[in-house]
Amino acid sequence: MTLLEVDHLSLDLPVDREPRRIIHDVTLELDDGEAVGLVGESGAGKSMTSRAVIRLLPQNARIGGDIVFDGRSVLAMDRRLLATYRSRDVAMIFQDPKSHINPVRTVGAFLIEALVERGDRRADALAVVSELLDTVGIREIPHRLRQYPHELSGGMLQRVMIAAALAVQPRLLLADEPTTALDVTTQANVMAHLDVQRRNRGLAMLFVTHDLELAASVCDRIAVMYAGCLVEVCAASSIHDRVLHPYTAGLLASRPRVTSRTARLPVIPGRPQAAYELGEGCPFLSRCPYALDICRTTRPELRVVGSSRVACHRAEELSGCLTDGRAADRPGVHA
Amino acid sequence: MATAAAAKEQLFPSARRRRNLDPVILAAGAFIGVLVLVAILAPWIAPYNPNAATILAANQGVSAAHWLGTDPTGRDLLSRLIWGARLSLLGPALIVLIATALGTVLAIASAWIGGLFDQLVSRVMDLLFAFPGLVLAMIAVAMFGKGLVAPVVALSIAYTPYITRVLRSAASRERSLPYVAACYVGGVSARSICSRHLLPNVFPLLLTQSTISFGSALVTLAAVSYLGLGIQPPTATWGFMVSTGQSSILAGHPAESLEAGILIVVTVVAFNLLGDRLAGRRSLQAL
Repeated sequence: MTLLEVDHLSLDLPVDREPRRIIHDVTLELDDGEAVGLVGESGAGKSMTSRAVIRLLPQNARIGGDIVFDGRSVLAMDRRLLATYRSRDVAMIFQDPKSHINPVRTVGAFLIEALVERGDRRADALAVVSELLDTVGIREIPHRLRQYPHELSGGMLQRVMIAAALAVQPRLLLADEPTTALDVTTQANVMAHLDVQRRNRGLAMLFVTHDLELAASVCDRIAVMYAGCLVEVCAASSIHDRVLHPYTAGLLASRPRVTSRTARLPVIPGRPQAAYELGEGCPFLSRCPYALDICRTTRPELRVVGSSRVACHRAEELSGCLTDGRAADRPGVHA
Repeated sequence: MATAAAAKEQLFPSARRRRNLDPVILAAGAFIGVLVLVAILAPWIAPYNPNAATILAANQGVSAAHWLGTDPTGRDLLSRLIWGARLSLLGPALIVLIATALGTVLAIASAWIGGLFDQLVSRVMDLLFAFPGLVLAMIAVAMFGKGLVAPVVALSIAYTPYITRVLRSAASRERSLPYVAACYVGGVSARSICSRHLLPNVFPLLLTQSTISFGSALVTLAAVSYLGLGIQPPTATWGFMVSTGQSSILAGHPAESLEAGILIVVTVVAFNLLGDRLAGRRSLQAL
């Protein structure tokens, strides 16, 4: 069953009164209990997409398309519906827990806030969050509840944030780079807790990250964004052997490997484009080694190829060549 | 942010930090504390009835019977100062209480609502800044009569912009921080965010601002009394004592004006120092 439907979403933000395109025509569905990883470089529009889902956008943003949660349009919700939707249906986990938790209130006050707000008794709320803290691996809970955010480490604070998100029993988790601000060993720990809790509760999750590997390991499907466009949506399990878009292939190729030593990692040439810089053709045009004339003139639509969806004119012919590096030797196939 | 937490720790230090407390804050706080205690306990500690005239004891200097001397009608000055502390402190306390309450609500509301409402509040506050408190108080007295109520109400209004302006900018800075956004996407109501998140975060500033305003309000209210527009005689207030003592200065008896004047100055200095040091702790934290 489809829980969340992002339907031809576009977003413009005015810069010096000129509207600038941030997101271009993103269409994505999320089933109940499914985890989708939204992957891309900085500025690709992945955070903005996740923020649009909870309508946490700048006031002057212009939104096109629609976002439908469980049959109701989020963009059309009035104040009261939106408040209910935010407090019961979705929960967001932010990148930097330190700046997203009020520093002058205790961890306990932060955790029970949403519960008390919707009418639970304090004692009940405390019992609920204590249990949750235990499940995300926090010890000495009564002591922690009395502490202030600055007394906890980043990893611990992020687990507190996860507990707070789970406390309201949402149906959808929005995780906006939940581990980016943490160091690597803590990252793994926090991510493991998030993953286990999500699976146990059967929650749907939109997981925003620039770490393709991480997304592949905790998500069912991967959606790759580039310059405000969705370029590929595929099953997480096939990310290593069956990617269809040259950009996804480039991302995969440019990560270091544990098994082999390379003097120099392959990079994607050029710099990331912003959505407003795009011309008529394919967003990845200027950096793509396989570009043809048609790529210059027509923007590829997201279409079904095999089990994935991809926005590339040459998806069929490049299929299977991208991941093993063979395609790199023959840029002009069938040209 | 993190500094606000530290600021709270600084303003209300835990036991291990307490010994590092600024001696100026300690001294000023202690002086103010004693003053408040004296005002409350006036009926029990004042050696004489403050309004009992004893013509035979008129214009006495400092003596064992009258520690601070007597005025031209023989009233004991120490007793009058002690009793005077009540209204002299109650007035500014009311002013600061009303102005702070009003100013905080306005400041947080305009920071939260923003837009036209924010603009409107700011302009009205600018308008109020144009009226010196004393002028406003005199207009109020002219309209509603002498006494405590009219000047207190007028000065409360006059001091509101001082609180509002400072708190509004702090609150709107706070409002733009990520944790506030996290609150409202978490479904926390606007009222809760304002009262449970914004307010505690601007509280240190609120405390310093109202402390400094207290000293200023005390002087202004004393000036109102001095002009004879405040509490009417024979009830003692410090400001009015400065004024009534004036006539005997030339006769060689400066005690009444001098003592009341010194008390006003010392009290105001204590409040200003306290406010100043509290503010200093805050700005150190903000670095």
